[in-house]
Amino acid sequence: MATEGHRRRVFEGSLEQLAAIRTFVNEAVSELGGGEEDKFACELACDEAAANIYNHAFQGARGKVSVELWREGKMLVVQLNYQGRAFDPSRVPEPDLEAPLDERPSGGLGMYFMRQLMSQVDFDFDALEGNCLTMRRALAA
Amino acid sequence: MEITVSQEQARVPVTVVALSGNLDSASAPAVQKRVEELIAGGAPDILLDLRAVPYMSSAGLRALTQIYNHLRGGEDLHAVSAGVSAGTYHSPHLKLLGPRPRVMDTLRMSGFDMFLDIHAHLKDALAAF
Repeated sequence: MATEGHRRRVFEGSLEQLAAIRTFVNEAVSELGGGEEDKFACELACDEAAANIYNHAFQGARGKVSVELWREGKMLVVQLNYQGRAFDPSRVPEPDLEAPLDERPSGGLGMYFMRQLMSQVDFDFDALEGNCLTMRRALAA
Repeated sequence: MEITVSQEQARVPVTVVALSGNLDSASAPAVQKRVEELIAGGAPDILLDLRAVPYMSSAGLRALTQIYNHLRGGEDLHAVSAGVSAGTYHSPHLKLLGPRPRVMDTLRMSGFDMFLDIHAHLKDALAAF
Protein backbone atom coordinates (compact mmCIF):
# COMPACT_ATOMS: atom_id res chain seq x y z
CA MET A 1 0.00 0.00 0.00
CA ALA A 2 1.44 3.37 -1.05
CA THR A 3 1.80 5.91 1.71
CA GLU A 4 1.48 9.67 1.31
CA GLY A 5 1.50 12.95 3.14
CA HIS A 6 3.88 12.09 5.97
CA ARG A 7 3.88 14.60 8.82
CA ARG A 8 6.20 14.14 11.77
CA ARG A 9 7.10 16.06 14.90
CA VAL A 10 9.12 15.19 17.99
CA PHE A 11 7.80 16.21 21.39
CA GLU A 12 10.22 16.40 24.28
CA GLY A 13 9.09 16.74 27.85
CA SER A 14 6.32 15.16 29.85
CA LEU A 15 2.56 15.44 30.30
CA GLU A 16 2.59 19.18 29.59
CA GLN A 17 3.26 18.20 25.93
CA LEU A 18 -0.17 16.62 25.55
CA ALA A 19 -1.87 19.85 24.43
CA ALA A 20 0.79 20.43 21.75
CA ILE A 21 0.50 16.82 20.59
CA ARG A 22 -3.29 17.16 20.26
CA THR A 23 -2.93 20.37 18.24
CA PHE A 24 -0.37 18.76 15.90
CA VAL A 25 -2.54 15.67 15.38
CA ASN A 26 -5.67 17.73 14.81
CA GLU A 27 -3.99 19.85 12.13
CA ALA A 28 -2.28 16.89 10.47
CA VAL A 29 -5.51 14.88 10.24
CA SER A 30 -7.23 17.86 8.68
CA GLU A 31 -4.42 18.29 6.14
CA LEU A 32 -4.63 14.57 5.34
CA GLY A 33 -8.33 14.86 4.48
CA GLY A 34 -9.93 13.80 7.74
CA GLY A 35 -13.20 15.30 8.97
CA GLU A 36 -14.35 16.34 12.44
CA GLU A 37 -14.95 12.74 13.60
CA ASP A 38 -11.51 11.69 12.40
CA LYS A 39 -9.85 14.65 14.12
CA PHE A 40 -11.59 13.93 17.42
CA ALA A 41 -10.80 10.20 17.22
CA CYS A 42 -7.11 10.61 16.37
CA GLU A 43 -6.64 13.44 18.85
CA LEU A 44 -8.13 11.50 21.76
CA ALA A 45 -6.45 8.20 20.82
CA CYS A 46 -3.07 9.91 20.48
CA ASP A 47 -3.52 11.82 23.75
CA GLU A 48 -4.36 8.58 25.59
CA ALA A 49 -1.37 6.78 24.04
CA ALA A 50 1.04 9.62 24.81
CA ALA A 51 -0.24 9.96 28.40
CA ASN A 52 0.36 6.23 28.91
CA ILE A 53 3.86 6.57 27.44
CA TYR A 54 4.77 9.52 29.66
CA ASN A 55 3.36 7.79 32.74
CA HIS A 56 4.55 4.22 32.14
CA ALA A 57 7.41 4.13 29.61
CA PHE A 58 9.13 7.26 30.97
CA GLN A 59 7.72 6.74 34.47
CA GLY A 60 7.15 10.43 35.01
CA ALA A 61 10.58 11.52 33.74
CA ARG A 62 11.09 13.65 30.63
CA GLY A 63 11.38 11.83 27.33
CA LYS A 64 11.01 12.17 23.56
CA VAL A 65 7.99 10.97 21.61
CA SER A 66 7.96 11.11 17.84
CA VAL A 67 4.44 11.46 16.41
CA GLU A 68 4.00 10.73 12.70
CA LEU A 69 0.85 10.64 10.59
CA TRP A 70 0.25 9.60 7.01
CA ARG A 71 -2.36 8.22 4.60
CA GLU A 72 -2.57 4.70 3.24
CA GLY A 73 -5.45 4.90 0.75
CA LYS A 74 -8.57 5.52 2.84
CA MET A 75 -6.71 4.72 6.04
CA LEU A 76 -5.18 7.30 8.38
CA VAL A 77 -2.11 6.06 10.21
CA VAL A 78 -0.82 7.55 13.47
CA GLN A 79 2.50 6.23 14.75
CA LEU A 80 4.28 7.01 18.01
CA ASN A 81 7.95 6.08 18.46
CA TYR A 82 9.62 6.36 21.83
CA GLN A 83 12.49 5.03 23.86
CA GLY A 84 12.26 4.11 27.51
CA ARG A 85 10.83 1.12 29.26
CA ALA A 86 9.13 -1.33 26.91
CA PHE A 87 5.48 -0.53 27.38
CA ASP A 88 2.69 -1.88 25.23
CA PRO A 89 -0.46 0.15 25.89
CA SER A 90 -2.51 -2.45 24.06
CA ARG A 91 -1.84 -4.94 26.87
CA VAL A 92 -3.57 -2.78 29.44
CA PRO A 93 -6.79 -4.61 30.34
CA GLU A 94 -10.00 -2.86 29.41
CA PRO A 95 -12.32 -1.76 32.19
CA ASP A 96 -15.68 -3.35 32.88
CA LEU A 97 -18.01 -0.52 31.89
CA GLU A 98 -20.99 -2.41 33.29
CA ALA A 99 -19.51 -2.31 36.80
CA PRO A 100 -20.54 0.40 39.27
CA LEU A 101 -18.13 3.33 39.41
CA ASP A 102 -16.80 2.44 42.84
CA GLU A 103 -15.78 -1.03 41.66
CA ARG A 104 -13.99 0.04 38.49
CA PRO A 105 -10.21 -0.09 38.24
CA SER A 106 -8.60 3.31 37.81
CA GLY A 107 -6.78 2.37 34.59
CA GLY A 108 -7.68 0.94 31.21
CA LEU A 109 -10.10 3.57 29.95
CA GLY A 110 -7.45 5.17 27.76
CA MET A 111 -6.79 1.89 25.97
CA TYR A 112 -10.53 1.32 25.68
CA PHE A 113 -10.88 4.68 23.90
CA MET A 114 -7.97 3.89 21.58
CA ARG A 115 -9.60 0.61 20.56
CA GLN A 116 -13.04 2.18 20.20
CA LEU A 117 -11.85 5.09 18.09
CA MET A 118 -9.23 3.43 15.90
CA SER A 119 -9.66 0.49 13.52
CA GLN A 120 -6.39 -1.18 14.49
CA VAL A 121 -3.79 -0.76 17.26
CA ASP A 122 -0.38 -2.49 16.98
CA PHE A 123 2.73 -2.39 19.13
CA ASP A 124 6.32 -3.33 18.29
CA PHE A 125 9.45 -3.27 20.41
CA ASP A 126 13.00 -3.39 19.11
CA ALA A 127 15.99 -3.26 21.44
CA LEU A 128 17.69 -0.67 19.19
CA GLU A 129 14.75 1.20 17.67
CA GLY A 130 12.68 1.27 20.84
CA ASN A 131 8.88 1.22 21.13
CA CYS A 132 6.56 1.73 18.19
CA LEU A 133 2.80 2.12 18.56
CA THR A 134 0.84 2.24 15.30
CA MET A 135 -2.86 3.07 15.12
CA ARG A 136 -4.93 2.98 11.94
CA ARG A 137 -8.33 4.49 11.35
CA ALA A 138 -10.57 4.08 8.32
CA LEU A 139 -11.58 7.61 7.35
CA ALA A 140 -15.16 8.49 8.18
CA ALA A 141 -17.35 8.66 5.08
CA MET B 1 -6.78 24.84 33.93
CA GLU B 2 -8.58 27.48 35.98
CA ILE B 3 -10.68 26.29 38.92
CA THR B 4 -13.25 28.68 40.37
CA VAL B 5 -15.25 27.75 43.46
CA SER B 6 -18.53 29.37 44.52
CA GLN B 7 -21.51 28.54 46.68
CA GLU B 8 -25.17 28.30 45.67
CA GLN B 9 -28.16 27.70 47.89
CA ALA B 10 -30.52 25.01 46.61
CA ARG B 11 -32.51 22.70 48.91
CA VAL B 12 -29.03 22.08 50.31
CA PRO B 13 -25.92 24.26 50.04
CA VAL B 14 -24.14 23.36 46.78
CA THR B 15 -20.47 23.94 46.05
CA VAL B 16 -20.04 24.89 42.39
CA VAL B 17 -16.63 24.08 40.91
CA ALA B 18 -16.24 25.78 37.53
CA LEU B 19 -13.43 24.48 35.33
CA SER B 20 -11.94 26.34 32.40
CA GLY B 21 -9.53 24.55 30.08
CA ASN B 22 -8.80 21.05 28.83
CA LEU B 23 -9.21 18.20 31.29
CA ASP B 24 -6.38 15.79 30.46
CA SER B 25 -3.60 13.87 32.24
CA ALA B 26 -1.70 17.10 32.84
CA SER B 27 -4.60 18.96 34.50
CA ALA B 28 -6.88 16.30 36.02
CA PRO B 29 -4.79 15.58 39.16
CA ALA B 30 -5.00 19.23 40.26
CA VAL B 31 -8.77 19.27 39.72
CA GLN B 32 -9.21 16.06 41.70
CA LYS B 33 -7.00 17.37 44.51
CA ARG B 34 -8.90 20.68 44.72
CA VAL B 35 -12.30 18.98 44.85
CA GLU B 36 -11.07 16.44 47.42
CA GLU B 37 -9.92 19.36 49.58
CA LEU B 38 -13.39 20.89 49.32
CA ILE B 39 -15.01 17.58 50.30
CA ALA B 40 -12.62 17.18 53.23
CA GLY B 41 -13.50 20.73 54.24
CA GLY B 42 -17.18 19.83 54.51
CA ALA B 43 -18.68 20.18 51.02
CA PRO B 44 -21.02 17.17 50.61
CA ASP B 45 -22.74 18.32 47.39
CA ILE B 46 -20.71 19.34 44.35
CA LEU B 47 -21.73 20.69 40.96
CA LEU B 48 -18.91 20.48 38.42
CA ASP B 49 -19.39 23.19 35.81
CA LEU B 50 -17.92 21.87 32.56
CA ARG B 51 -19.27 24.58 30.24
CA ALA B 52 -15.76 25.94 29.60
CA VAL B 53 -14.08 22.53 29.18
CA PRO B 54 -13.64 21.87 25.44
CA TYR B 55 -11.88 18.52 25.84
CA MET B 56 -11.72 15.65 28.33
CA SER B 57 -9.65 12.47 28.17
CA SER B 58 -9.83 9.34 30.34
CA ALA B 59 -7.77 11.18 32.97
CA GLY B 60 -10.77 13.45 33.52
CA LEU B 61 -13.00 10.42 33.89
CA ARG B 62 -10.65 8.92 36.48
CA ALA B 63 -10.86 12.15 38.46
CA LEU B 64 -14.67 12.05 38.22
CA THR B 65 -14.63 8.45 39.48
CA GLN B 66 -12.58 9.38 42.53
CA ILE B 67 -14.71 12.43 43.30
CA TYR B 68 -17.91 10.40 42.90
CA ASN B 69 -16.60 7.72 45.26
CA HIS B 70 -15.63 10.31 47.87
CA LEU B 71 -19.13 11.79 47.75
CA ARG B 72 -21.10 8.54 47.52
CA GLY B 73 -21.35 8.20 51.29
CA GLY B 74 -23.66 5.55 52.61
CA GLU B 75 -25.56 4.76 49.42
CA ASP B 76 -26.73 1.16 49.19
CA LEU B 77 -24.66 -0.37 46.37
CA HIS B 78 -27.41 -2.81 45.37
CA ALA B 79 -29.86 0.06 45.12
CA VAL B 80 -27.34 2.04 43.03
CA SER B 81 -26.84 -0.88 40.63
CA ALA B 82 -30.57 -1.47 40.33
CA GLY B 83 -31.16 2.23 39.71
CA VAL B 84 -28.47 2.38 37.02
CA SER B 85 -29.93 -0.68 35.28
CA ALA B 86 -33.40 0.84 35.40
CA GLY B 87 -32.12 4.22 34.21
CA THR B 88 -33.48 5.92 37.34
CA TYR B 89 -30.22 6.57 39.22
CA HIS B 90 -29.01 10.16 39.43
CA SER B 91 -25.80 10.64 41.41
CA PRO B 92 -27.22 12.57 44.38
CA HIS B 93 -24.10 14.39 45.55
CA LEU B 94 -22.15 14.98 42.30
CA LYS B 95 -23.71 16.56 39.24
CA LEU B 96 -22.27 17.87 35.98
CA LEU B 97 -23.25 21.09 34.26
CA GLY B 98 -23.15 21.76 30.54
CA PRO B 99 -20.62 19.36 29.03
CA ARG B 100 -19.79 20.36 25.45
CA PRO B 101 -20.47 17.84 22.63
CA ARG B 102 -16.97 16.30 22.58
CA VAL B 103 -16.90 16.00 26.36
CA MET B 104 -20.36 14.43 26.21
CA ASP B 105 -19.03 11.95 23.61
CA THR B 106 -16.35 10.91 26.10
CA LEU B 107 -18.90 10.55 28.92
CA ARG B 108 -21.19 8.45 26.72
CA MET B 109 -18.42 6.28 25.27
CA SER B 110 -17.34 5.31 28.78
CA GLY B 111 -20.87 4.84 30.09
CA PHE B 112 -20.38 7.56 32.71
CA ASP B 113 -23.59 9.25 31.58
CA MET B 114 -25.43 6.28 33.11
CA PHE B 115 -24.13 7.12 36.60
CA LEU B 116 -23.63 10.83 36.67
CA ASP B 117 -26.49 13.30 36.71
CA ILE B 118 -25.90 15.74 33.83
CA HIS B 119 -27.75 19.02 33.25
CA ALA B 120 -27.60 21.64 30.52
CA HIS B 121 -28.71 24.58 32.70
CA LEU B 122 -27.54 25.83 36.10
CA LYS B 123 -31.06 26.26 37.43
CA ASP B 124 -31.99 22.66 36.63
CA ALA B 125 -28.72 21.34 38.02
CA LEU B 126 -29.21 23.12 41.35
CA ALA B 127 -32.84 22.02 41.58
CA ALA B 128 -31.72 18.40 41.18
CA PHE B 129 -29.82 18.38 44.50
